Amino acid sequence: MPIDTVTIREPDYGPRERLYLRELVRGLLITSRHFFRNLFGERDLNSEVGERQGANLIATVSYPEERRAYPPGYRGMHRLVPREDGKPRCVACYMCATVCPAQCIYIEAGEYDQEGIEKYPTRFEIDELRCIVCGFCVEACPKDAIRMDTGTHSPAVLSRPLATFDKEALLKGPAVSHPTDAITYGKSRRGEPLKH
Amino acid sequence: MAEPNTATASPAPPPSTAAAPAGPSTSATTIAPAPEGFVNVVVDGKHAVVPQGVNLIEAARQVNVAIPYFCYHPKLSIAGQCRMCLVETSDARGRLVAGCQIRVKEGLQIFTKTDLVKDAQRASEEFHLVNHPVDCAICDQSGECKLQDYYVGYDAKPSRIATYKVNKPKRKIFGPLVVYDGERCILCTRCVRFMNEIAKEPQIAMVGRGDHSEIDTVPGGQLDSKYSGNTVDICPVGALLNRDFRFTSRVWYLENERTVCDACANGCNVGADVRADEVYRYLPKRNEEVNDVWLCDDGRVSYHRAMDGRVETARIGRGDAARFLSDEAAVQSTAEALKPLVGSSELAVLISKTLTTEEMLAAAVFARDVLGQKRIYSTGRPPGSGDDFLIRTDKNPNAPGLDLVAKALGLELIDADDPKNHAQHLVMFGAEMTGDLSARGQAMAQALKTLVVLGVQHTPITEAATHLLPLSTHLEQEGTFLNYYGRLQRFRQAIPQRFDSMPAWAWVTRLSKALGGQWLFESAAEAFGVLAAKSAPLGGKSLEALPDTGVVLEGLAPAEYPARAPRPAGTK
Amino acid sequence: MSSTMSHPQNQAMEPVGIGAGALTGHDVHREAPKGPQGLPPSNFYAPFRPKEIAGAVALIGYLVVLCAVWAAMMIFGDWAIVGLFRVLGASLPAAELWGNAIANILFVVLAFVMLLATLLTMGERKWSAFIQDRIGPNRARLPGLKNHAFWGIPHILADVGKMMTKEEVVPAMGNQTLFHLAPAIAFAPAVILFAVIPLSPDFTLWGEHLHIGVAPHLNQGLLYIFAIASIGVLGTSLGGWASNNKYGLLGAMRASAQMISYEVTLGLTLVGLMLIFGTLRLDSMMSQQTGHLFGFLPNWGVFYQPLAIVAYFAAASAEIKRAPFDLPEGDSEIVGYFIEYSGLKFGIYMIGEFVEVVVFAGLFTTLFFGGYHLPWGEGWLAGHLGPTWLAGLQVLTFLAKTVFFCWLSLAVRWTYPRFRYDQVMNLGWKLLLPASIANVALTGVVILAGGMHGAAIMGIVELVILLAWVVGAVGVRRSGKETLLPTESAAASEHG
Repeated sequence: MPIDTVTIREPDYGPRERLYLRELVRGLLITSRHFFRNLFGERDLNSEVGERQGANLIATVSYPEERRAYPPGYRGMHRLVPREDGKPRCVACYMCATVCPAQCIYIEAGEYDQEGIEKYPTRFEIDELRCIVCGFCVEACPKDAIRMDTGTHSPAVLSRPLATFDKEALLKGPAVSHPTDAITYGKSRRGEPLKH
Repeated sequence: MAEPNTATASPAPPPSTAAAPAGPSTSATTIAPAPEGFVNVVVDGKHAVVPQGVNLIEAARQVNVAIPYFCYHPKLSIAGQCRMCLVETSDARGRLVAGCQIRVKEGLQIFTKTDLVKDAQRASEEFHLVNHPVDCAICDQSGECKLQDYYVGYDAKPSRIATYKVNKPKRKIFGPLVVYDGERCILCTRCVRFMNEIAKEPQIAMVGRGDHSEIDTVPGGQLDSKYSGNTVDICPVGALLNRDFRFTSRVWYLENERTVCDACANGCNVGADVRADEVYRYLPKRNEEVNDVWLCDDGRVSYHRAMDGRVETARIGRGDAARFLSDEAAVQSTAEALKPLVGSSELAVLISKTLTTEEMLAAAVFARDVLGQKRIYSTGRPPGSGDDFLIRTDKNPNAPGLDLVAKALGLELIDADDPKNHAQHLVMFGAEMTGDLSARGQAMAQALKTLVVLGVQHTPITEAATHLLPLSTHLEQEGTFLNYYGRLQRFRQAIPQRFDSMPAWAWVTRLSKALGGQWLFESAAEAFGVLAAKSAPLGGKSLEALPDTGVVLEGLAPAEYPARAPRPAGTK
Repeated sequence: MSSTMSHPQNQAMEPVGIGAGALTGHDVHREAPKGPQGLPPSNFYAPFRPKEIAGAVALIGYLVVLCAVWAAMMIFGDWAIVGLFRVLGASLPAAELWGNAIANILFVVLAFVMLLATLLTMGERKWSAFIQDRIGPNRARLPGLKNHAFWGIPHILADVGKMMTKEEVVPAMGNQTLFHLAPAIAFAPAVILFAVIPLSPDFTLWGEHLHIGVAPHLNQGLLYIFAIASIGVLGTSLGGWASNNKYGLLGAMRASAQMISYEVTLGLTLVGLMLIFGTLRLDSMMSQQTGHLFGFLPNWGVFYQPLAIVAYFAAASAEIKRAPFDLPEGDSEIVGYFIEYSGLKFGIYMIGEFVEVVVFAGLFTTLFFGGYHLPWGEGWLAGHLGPTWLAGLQVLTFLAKTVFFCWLSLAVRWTYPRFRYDQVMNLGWKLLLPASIANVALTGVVILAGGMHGAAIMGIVELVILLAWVVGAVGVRRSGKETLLPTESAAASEHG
């Protein structure tokens, strides 16, 4: 079988190229320029690295002391969204637990006695260690009851059980209401409580 | 897709030309005349030979064409309430007929995919959703809801209704097992018809007019029929829900495992909805010769026996001296207690009529060959109320099985759970007993020196036991039950064995090994094989070969069947 | 069984104008997420606080105390030792020099070479960070001084602690004796090389005749350097061989071949200097590098031997195995001769490398850049300050020059990529060696013809040509060919 061969001829460098002295000095000047700019230039601590000004070229963000702002769509730690009366919006439909690819959501459902909404989670636990932060639970929730808008990532913990957050720990943040809540949370569209 | 009778079917005629039988596409072949009692029909171009007198829905089902319906139920009368099954036929193109009400006739062509039919289906679905709250998130029916499925299949459009929805009663307790949500109800009246026609207890009815119609119990009464749970099963939406199952699990987490109800001697076929090692509910399985498609309420909640109050760990000693042991230690201790009693007349063996046939066999051969007994005593649940439909007075699922085993092994079977007074040592396979259990338990605790109990649930009897071994329920093992008319029904393992429990044949194997006996059963099939070799009615059957719906053994049928009870085909 | 959810009614119940998005609430009633995005500003780069000033003062104080200890030893050590010998009744010729000698050894080795080398370990990390637009190590803190990183210097202590406490793994099948000996053999020559380098001229302090430098008056100074420098290869090759590791051996073989090759060049480049200064004594060379050429140029070796400087710098880099000549280590390919070393033995190899950097920077300063001599104004300073203070200033001058060449060595290391092995050999044998031989010949001829003055003119002409070449004014420009990559040009010639 014939083999395609490509002959690469060594380029015919002259003494100047072979000595390479000029390029060596140029390279040295480049690194030296960076060195002195970074040594003497004052660091701009703007957390938007791309917008930093001044002679200093250092792009580092020293993490614990300096932090970049999370982008608006950042998926942080979960929270259970409260209703206006402070109870969770969650109706324990198990949609999040069903869709969760990491199976990190555990729910037990219970029944309210007097409220228009019958079903609520007696237990709602998320294992943040298992969570892969995909956001499917937020997408799946039909009641806008779980969100990942806390802007924090799951905290470091000293033992694994501490990373499992229960309903009380998850229920936080501003309350949310929707026009459709009337049907779910116990009031008819006419503003009267539903008959039982 | 399986298409029966395609060998004789003609090529599918397009609906537009179907009205002209002499069209070029159908002229090449002719449809053969149907056999006696059958007629030829064409459903969406597919040829089918169906029994005379069936309606269009069933005819279409023969060729795997689904006509949607809510109110129709094959076992109930035809109501025509829901208008979901509207189709076109060749009798009147351009007009819609209800598929549930119209019967087939020779040469009828049924069209289920025309624009007219699709429009009608979409409109019907939209009408059903006008006042429906669409609270699928909190509705237990979601996942097995016809309204939900049909919305995706036949409507799939946002609602155009911008008015207020009608408020109706929600969470109305109808009875001990049933709760009603009027807003979800689509008024198909399946439940009403079931109570009228099948349960023969007309406890609910449709009340009100127009969009204020709702289902309600009769004034002053409640839905407390023994068959009320079936209304939940047949409810196509989430209007009637099982209070026992409500909110415990979403249905898509559950696996339906076929098994047999052990609440009475009828042996109804059920599907256990399980997740991991827990059963969440029983649903009836179709078996025309045992339970049709129904299940009584007592049977429906009988799975709780396998879930609640279980004997979890082997225990030696009673009262303050109780110690909890591992399997091996418990077997050793029990074997030591039984060793001096081998062949003794002071020892008696009780076998419960709730065990599987295989467990009974293992217990019986253990009594005969290892413990040296000539007779065995039967025990079991006390008899209860029964009726002429599905509920038997005998609450033990396998009483004929024990007779069969005793006969096969040549043991004397004494149908009494109170052995003679001189028996100071007792081995009980199954902790069921009749009478006042706490009194009997106290008496046994005083009278008996040795009481070996293999029990499922904690009772006063198990409290009195000196050696308590956890026993598996029939859900946790393979085996057979022999029902009241001699139907041998096989069931498979539905859930893993819970806690430290084992089937009786497994305990027998271990005890037998510790006592130097020869009976070592590896599986239920092995125990069944031993029985089949010795018992004439079984006649060399094998457990693996038994069909899911069971076989009827000869010579065990009662003289007279209860009036409405399902029975083997051809039986009076 | 379908688990699909349907929501036709929910959407219908929305007021007109609110779309399906209302179902999940992404555009109605949505609050801005409140995360802890604006953290309190870092105090890491805050201005110094009193505590930190105290820390900095402590650091400077350490250096001052070190110098004071040295001075005290210089003077009182003399008296003490002389007194000791008198008490013993022995007579010791030139006994008064012993204190000076011991103090010099301690000072030069501990305070100068080791301190510089130790700081260089951090300097390399920090400087390379600056070259690469990073911050570099800044996490370690001195106890009680949590708010300032002290330019990463506490990391040195952390590194030392790590090296000393790390498990020392010894390859079982290796040569145990040589394995343990090799780091010392590699380290010792690097340190004792500094013995012949004078850090100051002879001066008088409180009546004592002193100098800084262990043995700068050695007659065979340059030969001593050649001799000791060539011992260093033993440490690396023995270490690589005794590890019983193929990568270690590979590194050792590369090290031997490279170091032996470049020793020839290293020696020949300095022959020119010998010819010019007519001596092997470094202090003598130093004293000749004073005054000015043509009235304004410092009379330094650099202006006599510019070609030798280039060759010497390259050869020295290769000799101490620094990038771009770090093939024996080749951390990204074979790890090198110390692959099996861990703990303090590895630490000795590592610090040895930095000691070599300091030593060669010192040699470079001494031979080519006037050593401790200030470029200008020495005469004026000598008149105003007196020779003793001038000597102190000259020590600092030497220090500054040495630090600069250390920095240059590091800058080179972080600028150029590693050579391939054949390139190293080609460069050494085919370019640097002929060039240095030519340099020797040329220098000899010029000195015979024109003496020192002619040599200076030759050096300056060479320097001008070299600089012009570097700047790009001279040189053969071949149109367009520079821009082509080798493969591209080959393709162009094949298909053109």
